[in-house]
Amino acid sequence: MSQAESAQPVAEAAEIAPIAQSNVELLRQLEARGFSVDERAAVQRAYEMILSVNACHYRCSGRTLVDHLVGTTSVVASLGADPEWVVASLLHAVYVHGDFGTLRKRPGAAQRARVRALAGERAEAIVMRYSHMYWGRSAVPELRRALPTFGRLDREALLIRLADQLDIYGTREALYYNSLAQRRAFARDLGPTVVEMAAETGYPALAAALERAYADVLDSPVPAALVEPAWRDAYVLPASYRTRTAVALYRTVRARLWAWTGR
Amino acid sequence: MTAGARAASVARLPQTPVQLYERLQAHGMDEAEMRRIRAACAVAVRLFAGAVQRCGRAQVQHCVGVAGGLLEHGAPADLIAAGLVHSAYLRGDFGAWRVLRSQRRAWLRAQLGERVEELVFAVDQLPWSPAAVRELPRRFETLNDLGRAAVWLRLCDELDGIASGGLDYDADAEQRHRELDEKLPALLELATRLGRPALGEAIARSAGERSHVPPALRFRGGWLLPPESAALRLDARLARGLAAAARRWRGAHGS
Repeated sequence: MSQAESAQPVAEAAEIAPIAQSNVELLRQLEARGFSVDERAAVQRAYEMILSVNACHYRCSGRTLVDHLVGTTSVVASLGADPEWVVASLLHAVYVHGDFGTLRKRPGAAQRARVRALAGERAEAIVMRYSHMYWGRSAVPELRRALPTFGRLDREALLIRLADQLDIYGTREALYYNSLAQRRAFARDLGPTVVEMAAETGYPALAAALERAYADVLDSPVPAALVEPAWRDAYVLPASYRTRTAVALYRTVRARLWAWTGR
Repeated sequence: MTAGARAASVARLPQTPVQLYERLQAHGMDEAEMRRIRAACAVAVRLFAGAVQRCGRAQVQHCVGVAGGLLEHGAPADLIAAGLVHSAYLRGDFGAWRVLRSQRRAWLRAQLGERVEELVFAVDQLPWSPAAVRELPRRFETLNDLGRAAVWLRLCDELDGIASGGLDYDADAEQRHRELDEKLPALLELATRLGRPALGEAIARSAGERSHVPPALRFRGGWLLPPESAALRLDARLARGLAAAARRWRGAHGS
């Protein structure tokens, strides 16, 4: 495998930078890393796209999904990522959680063309690979086993996933989830595997940061006042808005069918 | 200020509820107060769902920044909770038929209590154009406790706008910088008169760190971004049409 195909780190920072929590903080971080105005403008355009499809998506911690996408991108930028990879990081959940106004959630040709036109072929391909990279208790060991066979795009998609983990645990957001017990179980049982994957892909600073973050979430107490009553991940529509009739009807029918078929 | 130094100064004020929660604990806030502030976060999410600032930050992020500024500068829990929903009457979406001020006040009172609502209303009633801010130190002694709390909150509102870099990334950054220059001496004097010199210093320091951001990097999106599968409710459309007609009628009849 050539250097270009292997996605070896170009200039990973010795320490992962403080994780940006807004578009402005991210753009400043990229400026500090030497991104040109045109490269930052491409990131800003990607940010405008995620706002248009994700602005109303809130996580159970109270944080917006957009904050999490920005945080993940900030970690990827600390790995020395090039502009296309950074844009892909910002768009990484667009096929999983993006609301394109279509009936089906799965990305169709029109959505993929829209992302490709904005982000370019490579970035879109990374996002697509990320969307198909299942992440769960059974999947993490399998991903680690498959890691030596990964090409560049798969590695970049995987590293976005690892950055996503660092954003969730490194910002301590996991502590305020309604699923804290599951998150802690993941950190305890699978955290070491995730850390090893970061090290094996050639990113020791990311591995060290993940190790610290998992340990921190395992150890830290959380006041009940900040987690009760539990919140859920949700689309929160502005009060004057409603889901369009066709979409609402489709979702209702689909939910009934799933219930009926036992899915 | 170099890009590296600006990047290093990120997150001086919290930008997410999680960062705010962490700071509440670091300040040793008691459980009952934290519970009220978390409830205010939930109300902010409902009122400002899909709302973004002119720099592209979510409105909720700005509100968290304001609350964080208040926390850092010694405000009580009620005022911090008010900071989270301070722009409710200006920008909050209360739904199609909660159009009257009295209805909106009653709703917010039911959610967050009388004191927090009074503070939010006082902020809404405080004139805050550059000319009004310049005038404010002269009439500071006439302000009651609510008025002074509203000034305190407004100063933290300004602090978040500047310290977050939001002003620099505003589509109309030059105008926003001019307005800040016009009112900056008054802001600093107000902080001193409130007995919060550290707040004034933070505003002055952040104002000195402003930078010119190329227009290509400034945010160009709208201020409300509902999901693409959402549409304005029919009753909201009707209510807005009626409100617009009433405004036209008042304009035509000079009342």
